[in-house]
Amino acid sequence: MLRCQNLTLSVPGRVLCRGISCALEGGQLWAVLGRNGSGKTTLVHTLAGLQPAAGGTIRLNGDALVARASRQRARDIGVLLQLEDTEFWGSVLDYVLLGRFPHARSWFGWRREDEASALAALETVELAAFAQRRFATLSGGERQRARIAQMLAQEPRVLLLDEPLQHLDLKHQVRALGLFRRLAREEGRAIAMVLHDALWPGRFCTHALLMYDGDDALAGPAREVLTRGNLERLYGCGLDEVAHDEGGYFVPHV
Amino acid sequence: MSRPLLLAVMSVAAVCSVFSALLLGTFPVSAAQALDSIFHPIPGVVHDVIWELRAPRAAAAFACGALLALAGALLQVLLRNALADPYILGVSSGASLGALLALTLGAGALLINAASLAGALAALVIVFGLGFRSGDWNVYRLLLTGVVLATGLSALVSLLLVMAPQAQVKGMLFWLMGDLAYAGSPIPAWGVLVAVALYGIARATELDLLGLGQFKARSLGVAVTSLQAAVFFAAAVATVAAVMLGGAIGFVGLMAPHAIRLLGVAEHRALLPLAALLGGSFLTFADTAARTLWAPQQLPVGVLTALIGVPAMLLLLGRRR
Repeated sequence: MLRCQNLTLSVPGRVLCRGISCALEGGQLWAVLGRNGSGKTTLVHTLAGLQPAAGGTIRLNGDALVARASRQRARDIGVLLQLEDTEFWGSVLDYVLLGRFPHARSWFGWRREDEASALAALETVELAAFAQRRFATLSGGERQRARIAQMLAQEPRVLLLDEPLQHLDLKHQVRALGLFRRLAREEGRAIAMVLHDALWPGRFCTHALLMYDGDDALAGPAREVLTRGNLERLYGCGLDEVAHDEGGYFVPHV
Repeated sequence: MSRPLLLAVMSVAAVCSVFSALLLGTFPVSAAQALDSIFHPIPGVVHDVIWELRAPRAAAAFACGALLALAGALLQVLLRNALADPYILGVSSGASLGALLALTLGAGALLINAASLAGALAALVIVFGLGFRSGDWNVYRLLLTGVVLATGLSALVSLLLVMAPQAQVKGMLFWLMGDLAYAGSPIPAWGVLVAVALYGIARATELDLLGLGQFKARSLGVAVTSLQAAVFFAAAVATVAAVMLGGAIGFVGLMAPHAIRLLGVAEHRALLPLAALLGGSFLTFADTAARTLWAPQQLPVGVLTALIGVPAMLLLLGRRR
């Protein structure tokens, strides 16, 4: 679905990462791991077409991403941004409805199917009771769930999630990860998510992309990539392996 | 307040404002006479007062207020700054400088208008040129360029005021504070008003998204750069049209959109028409007050907009939700 070849990421004045190649296919759930400042967010923005790549190519279903009109692109690729700094004046439902913009066709407001899609998305993230509340009154975790709902209402085939678990309590972290796994497995969507927790990727993700500082990135099936040696090198700290019925997991060695 | 109710209230206010502008003044006109004159026009003094004097002025006031409200709402979302008003990009300072230069040189009304238009357009070109440099829209640079330019132009305006002969200063002050007594034909302004309002409503959802930030808007499929350029020009054209009618009338453009937001409407599809109705009727009321309160003396309407608007706004701000 979304393939990148030999991608170079840079922010003004600094090259973050070179030579990233990976292919997100339907049904896959990728974890993107790396230290602070290693370029994870820049990767998400670049793959979503929000900023140009410093080098390399990105193809969506075989077509160059840059050639797509922005609305057409937003019908295929949804992004959950890490930072959203603006306050929103309307209700929670108004906020989620904005996710329907790529599909909207009317001058006269939202169609019934837009509302239905937004309400279903709110139901999925357990915010249906809050639909008419003002968005500004939500807590941090509730806002994060509203953002996830907005992206669900957008109905993209490719989901790029930048720290989707931030602000969520443990129960909703598990719910969100279960939701993403279901979207990948049952609906055949392609999902990549930036995570900071070394516990989750091994239990939920099918693939992983490790972004080492400098010119090195490692991409592949989770079982092959998520080894203790690779992760210790990635984070630069010791890890202990914890045995669990489905396999081994890593916690920081303190 | 619910949206249909708010729309009804604003529409009634608009009709009342225009109707009272037709009735009130030094020449007394009764409601019956006015209605008669509207539906069965018969030549005569009443007809002339209504159709030659008061109707054009009410139309000018309404268009001016609605244009300022639209420009304010558009600039507040474009610059992502709640304090943005139509004059923040230097349009009014450029127009004032042009007009005052023409006044100093003893030019006639037509030349004054031409000079203020030239000044406004020059300020816009400079702000857009500097703000859009290297193809990269940075709203902070745009905002600062406008504010800096406006400050410089205001200094020149002050200089002109100090150096002008005493007899001209009063006319200049009226121009600076905003005054609809010398408004020309309101027809071009109404054309601009309809065009900008339709454009804003057509792009309403994109404006909502732009309010969430450029990245967010882009991620949901808004072509952000072209939208920003178009919104800039729509706001600029609206401001120039308003300034050409009434000079730099303050307060309306900043506060009309905020009043609507405080009443609970933030979606641009509803916010833009409601703010336009509010701005238009508010300025029409204020202008009627300006020419009747101290008749036959005329007060500058820009002073009255603030005098009436400030308490109303403070009341809204203090309201518990």
